[in-house]
Amino acid sequence: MPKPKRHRFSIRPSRKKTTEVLAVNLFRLMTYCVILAAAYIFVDIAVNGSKAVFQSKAPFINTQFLTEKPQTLHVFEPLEPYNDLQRLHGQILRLEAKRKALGKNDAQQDAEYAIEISSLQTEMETLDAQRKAGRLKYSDDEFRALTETPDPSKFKHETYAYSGGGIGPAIIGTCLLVLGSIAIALSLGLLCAIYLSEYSRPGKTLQAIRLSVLNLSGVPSIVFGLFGFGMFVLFFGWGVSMIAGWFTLAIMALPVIIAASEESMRAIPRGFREGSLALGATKWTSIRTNVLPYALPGILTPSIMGIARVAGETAPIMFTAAYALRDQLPWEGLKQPTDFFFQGVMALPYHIYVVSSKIPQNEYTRDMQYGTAFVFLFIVGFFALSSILLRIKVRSKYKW
Amino acid sequence: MSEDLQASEQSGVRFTRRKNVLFGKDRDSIIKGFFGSSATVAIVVLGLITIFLFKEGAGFLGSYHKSLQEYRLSGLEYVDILKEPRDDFSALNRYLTDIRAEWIQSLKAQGLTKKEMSAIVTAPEAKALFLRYLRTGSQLRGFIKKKMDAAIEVRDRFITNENLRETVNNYTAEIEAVSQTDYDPEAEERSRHALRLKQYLRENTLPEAVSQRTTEVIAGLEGEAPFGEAARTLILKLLQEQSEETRRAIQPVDFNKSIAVITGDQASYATILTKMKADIHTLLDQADAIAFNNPALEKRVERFGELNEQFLASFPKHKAKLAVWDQNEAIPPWRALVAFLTGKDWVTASDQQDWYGLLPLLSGSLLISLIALLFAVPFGVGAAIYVNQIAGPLERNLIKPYVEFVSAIPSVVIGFFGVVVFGEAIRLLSQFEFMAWVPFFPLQERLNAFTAGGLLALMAIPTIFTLAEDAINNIPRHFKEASFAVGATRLQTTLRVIVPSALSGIISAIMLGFGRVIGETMVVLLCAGTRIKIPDFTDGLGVFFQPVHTMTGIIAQEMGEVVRGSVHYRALFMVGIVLFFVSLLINFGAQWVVKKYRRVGD
Repeated sequence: MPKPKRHRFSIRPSRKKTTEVLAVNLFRLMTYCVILAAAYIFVDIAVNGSKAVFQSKAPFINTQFLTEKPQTLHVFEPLEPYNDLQRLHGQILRLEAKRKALGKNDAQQDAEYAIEISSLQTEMETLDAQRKAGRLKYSDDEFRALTETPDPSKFKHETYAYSGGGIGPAIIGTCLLVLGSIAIALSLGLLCAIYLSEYSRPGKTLQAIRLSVLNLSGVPSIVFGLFGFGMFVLFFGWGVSMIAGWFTLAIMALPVIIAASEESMRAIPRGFREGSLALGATKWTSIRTNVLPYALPGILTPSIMGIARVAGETAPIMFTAAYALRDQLPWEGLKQPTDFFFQGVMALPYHIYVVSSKIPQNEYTRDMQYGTAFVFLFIVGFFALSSILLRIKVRSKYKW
Repeated sequence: MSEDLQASEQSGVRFTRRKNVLFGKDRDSIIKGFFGSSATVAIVVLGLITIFLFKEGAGFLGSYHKSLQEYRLSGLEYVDILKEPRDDFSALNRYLTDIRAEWIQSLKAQGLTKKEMSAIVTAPEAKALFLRYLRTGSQLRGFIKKKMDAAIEVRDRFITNENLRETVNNYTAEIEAVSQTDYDPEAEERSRHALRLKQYLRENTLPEAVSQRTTEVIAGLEGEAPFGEAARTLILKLLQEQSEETRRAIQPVDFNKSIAVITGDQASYATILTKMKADIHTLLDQADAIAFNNPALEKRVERFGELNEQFLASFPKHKAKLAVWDQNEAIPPWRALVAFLTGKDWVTASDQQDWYGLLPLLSGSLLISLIALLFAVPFGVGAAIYVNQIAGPLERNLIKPYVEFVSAIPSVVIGFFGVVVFGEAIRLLSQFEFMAWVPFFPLQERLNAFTAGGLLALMAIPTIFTLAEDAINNIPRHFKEASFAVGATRLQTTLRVIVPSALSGIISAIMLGFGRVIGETMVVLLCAGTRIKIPDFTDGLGVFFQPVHTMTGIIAQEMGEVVRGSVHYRALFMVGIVLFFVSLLINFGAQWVVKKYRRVGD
């Protein structure tokens, strides 16, 4: 292609401009790398997790997975294809070793090996399909209900902890933990913020409070866990319980909520308060009627974000509230109503930790692992997204 | 004033405020006080965190000091000194095995068949070196094993005694409680007493009358019968008997005597060392006869000889160290703290000595943070510059909420992703041939510092991005305009005016990102490989790919399993204290940077 003739006034390339363009694109590349990396995580978990959560028949959602308790999974592999598969696998490994030993000396022999291996692999695939069709999967309940177990001479029996059933109690537990900690954190945070924005005068106390809030936000989550364990679980004697988890999580969420509430209240124009005071209202009345209602949307939106983040934390509830496995739902088997608060619960983040570290990764455990991660990501993402969308809406609604 | 009041009262108009007085305060100031007191919640919480961490961790120094004392008194420390030459010898052995493996590799590369190779490798002179070398140390190993067993026995007996003494104390307390005339046991205690009596009945043959009475008492305890005199005498008798029995089981340990077994046999130890020295010398002399026909290998064998000479030369020093060792040398109390802060081992539940050293965990945490920041700083700051300075409004309005959304991804989900996808992907990538140029590839471990660091970078990027973007956004507009006015291009303006002006904010953003990374738990617990060892920094860049453990990870992993109140439990709280103060320090640093370097002219 001939080079087009350049117009006299057209911009001429120069080294300076090239570097400029290069640098700009480098920055752009970096930004999009980050975006894509995060997107990859979302997509991977959504694609693999949806296999566990959705199904092809009506009602299209695997209600069993979402509502049942986690159970041990019993798998019966048909022995015949299984043994054949093992044998074929061994053959392939041997051939590959031979091929490797051959090096690059003998191209013809190498090609022969390659053909042999690929034919073995196709054979394996058909056998694998056969195995999948023939295998039996039972959750623990179903297994116990069986009148006769499959013949051990034909089937290989394997069990995988936590991999059967569903994650119902974990979903409920997470929701309860989030609701309780939201209530505690919001009420405490709001009180603190009202003082900071309406009553406080600049001085030593104010500085100390601000410094503490700032430092509290930087404390590692595991330290909050240790603190909650030392204070609520041991010192108050609450044991591993929901209420200990509530307070631990609420304290973690405090800095975000205080900062958000204060900022939101400070954004209310002075005139609102002065107008009310001029009409003879007391300070508290003017705060109650003229500041809080307008600040509330602004307080809520970042608070939801703070809660979304706290809901995602595992370390603080590890020793304060979460059980790896609990057969009863929180409202079952209570002797007295207060027991409700003093029981440990299952929680999604802790469940993810358990299923991704304590059980092996294979085709049977995969659904449980990805499914839990997907549901959890969905819940947290829902909170976060609604917070972001709400904020955009609030910003465009209130302008003064 | 009073005249005014009277005047207003007379005219019937009341401008004065009615006061609801409660403890001398009106309603508004009560409300103010209420809010004020709740505002201090942050201060209170910080204080409580400090108090409770110290409350649980406080006993650590004392119990660790005690454990160190036992370590010295029982002679385990002496045995550990004895073990030094053995460990050196094992290292030399590994070196030799390595040489042999390399030799076989080189022979293979020459295209020899298996038979030819084995003929060369098992030739008498080669056999002499490679196989008999290991044997030269067998006597030494046996000797040390014997001493170690003796020391462990002494220490274990000592600990058993302590436990027995505690049991006796419990018995004494119980006896005292039962002998009170108004003793009225709770249901739990009653059943415990009943159980104890039942066991007593089962294990002893008693006269008819006694067993009859005992059965009655048991029935009474299990039923609702009041706690009578008969039950009291029986239980007291039983408790006293058992307490006495336990007391008798205590065989006092005399450390001064037991140490003689361990430090004895000096002469035979010296003979063993001398013999070993002679053996190694003969072997090394014979080694010259092996024809490697490979300069690199010969060099390594030569080096092996040198290392051996060094090893043998260290014997006198080693003996001197053994001679100086003193069982009764007191351990100063601060040694426990030093041993914690600078200890190189974190060994728990071992049959010898438990060590609680911070360094492996601290170095692991720092290594992972370094890797994470290596990625997060350029990407986070770069993205902030791009979004604030270069991107259009639409792009900006999409990317900023997106990054905020990313910051809400739970860490355990990222950790899970690391376990199932990212770690495996890195290992597979490292196994491709085109990656072979990287010195430490292919990787053996899929979970290592790099896996965790790479994922943590993704968690730190939103923090760094948001704060850095804020800092850049706060640069006054006229900075930029002035720069444009003197003819600077957009890139020049950004890099030479905007970024330097926002530098304090960016640095503080990086520090807070660092704080987030070092305090993160789940990702490092799941993806860092959980090997408790100081990373081998002599490995060059390969150190990034070693499995490590971190401060946060160890707490999360071991807290659930430790016995409450044990040294191990308290050690975990000590790690928590260190973490807490590190995070406070980082926070203060970030605030200080912002305050100190804030540009004038904002």
